[in-house]
Amino acid sequence: MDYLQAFKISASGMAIEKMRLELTAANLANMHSAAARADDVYRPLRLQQQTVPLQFGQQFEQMVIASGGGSRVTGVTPLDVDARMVYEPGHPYADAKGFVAYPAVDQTAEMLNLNLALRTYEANVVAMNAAKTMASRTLEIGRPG
Amino acid sequence: MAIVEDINTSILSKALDAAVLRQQAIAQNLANVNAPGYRRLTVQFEADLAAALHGGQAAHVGRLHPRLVQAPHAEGNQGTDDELARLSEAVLHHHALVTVLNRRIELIGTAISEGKK
Repeated sequence: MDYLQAFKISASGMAIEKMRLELTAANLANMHSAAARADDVYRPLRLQQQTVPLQFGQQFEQMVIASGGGSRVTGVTPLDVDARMVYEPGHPYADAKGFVAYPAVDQTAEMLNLNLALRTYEANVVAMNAAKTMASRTLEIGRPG
Repeated sequence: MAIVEDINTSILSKALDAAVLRQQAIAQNLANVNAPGYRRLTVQFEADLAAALHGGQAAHVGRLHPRLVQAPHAEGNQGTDDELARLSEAVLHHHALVTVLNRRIELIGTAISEGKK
């Protein structure tokens, strides 16, 4: 049985969740970075992922092996949201009406994303540990005692 | 000799395959929990085996293989706890199968060593 496949699948899941976490960190870090023009302001980033199909094939008529599987990043795209305008007449970036453009980062949504990524990462670690346990138990087949 | 090449050992090794493939299907489901439109995978084997045995088609058991079944609809990221529960089930099932297989191997060993006395 090919256990490497199981490790690969879980590792791809972990990599994706790690990246989701990094994007959330970037979004939160840029929450208050104002820009001179509303068009130039930072826009929160989101991750796009795509499933790599898992298939079962047969080898030597008896053995069933898995191929493919996991998930991959297809892109990182900024959200299409307008800047958050705050009235701060004294600010160096203030426009003619005294408004400053701040990124429209939704703190609640980012915190939710962060927790989701964290829990999913943990679930992938559990799946990988399960593969490890099964692999080491398979080695015990035929061992006396 | 019937004790070495009986049908039970072949069923056991197929069931072990099924348990490992089930773990991989669950790993796939967990890696794609947050992928939009993802349809979860399950592994079907035990039901096929029971059907073959009850249908009196024991000869067909050798040609049985675990197979992947994809859910007809995407369910959103609802099933993490369910997947983890089924993961522990697969690991325990695998442990049980390894134990039974070891007992069978011990039995063969006893048969051989008793013959030497």
